Amino acid sequence: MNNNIKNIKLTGFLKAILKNEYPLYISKDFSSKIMKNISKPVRDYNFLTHSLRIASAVTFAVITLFVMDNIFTDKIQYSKSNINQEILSPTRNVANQMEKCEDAKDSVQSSDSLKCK
Amino acid sequence: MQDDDKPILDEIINGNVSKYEIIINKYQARIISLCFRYTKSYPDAEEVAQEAFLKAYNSLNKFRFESKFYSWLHRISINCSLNYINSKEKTKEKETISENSGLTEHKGVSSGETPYNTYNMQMMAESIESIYNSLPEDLKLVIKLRDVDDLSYDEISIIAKLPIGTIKSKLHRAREILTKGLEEYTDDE
Repeated sequence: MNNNIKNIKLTGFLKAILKNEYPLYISKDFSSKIMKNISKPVRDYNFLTHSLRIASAVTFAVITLFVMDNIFTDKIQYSKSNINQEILSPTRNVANQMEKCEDAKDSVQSSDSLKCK
Repeated sequence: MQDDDKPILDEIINGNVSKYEIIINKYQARIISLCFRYTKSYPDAEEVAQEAFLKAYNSLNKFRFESKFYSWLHRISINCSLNYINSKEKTKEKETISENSGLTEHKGVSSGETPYNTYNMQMMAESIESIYNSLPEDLKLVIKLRDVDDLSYDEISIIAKLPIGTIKSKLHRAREILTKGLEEYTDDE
């Protein structure tokens, strides 16, 4: 161990003992453990890592587009022949009774208004 | 407020990371002791103290030197210890709820810490006590005022009625004698 650091450590121990602020035991590698954590290199992203990241992003994008194109969109199918507009079911004429009811609003006691209700 | 650590801290802030080892070695005993008051277990106290030193390092650029570095580190260590207690209480609650709580391994018991990889501070303290008692009174006074009472050289100069230069040399002499007593416990390095 560096002589200077050893002296500082001993002075630190001495001060702790004189102040009566010392634990019973201290791990010998206490400081080196912390220094290892501090000196941990920032994760080095090399060319391969970058390429893999980009490739995976592109693959993911392509798959997503494929899925969206094939599953989520309703495909419109165009018929080749003309659509026959002839209404096959029979219809019957109905009269709109609403106008009559609106007219009857004022004459409460009229027989028509009662029918509308 | 004059802080003895400022030059070292400035170097660390400017990128000389290795200098932080000086700070750790200077304060490790006191910080572990402080954490032990909360954790009641030495392995846990060391773990919390490590976290405190790391936190202090990571926030060093926020330290404004308005107080002494040790006071700031002391505060961080207390916060880390309190967080530890809170997390331990939560774990305890979970253990109570869990059916397998009896099988939980207790960290303090199975840490595997042996005297071979630790400094025995108790033995060091006993050695220091006997050496300190045998010191001449002037050296005892100087080291007490400086290292126990944390007084400045100016204040010690007034109390001891001695020039600062003399106080510095007496302090150096006293520390030299006392740390020699510790060397036999750290000789394996």
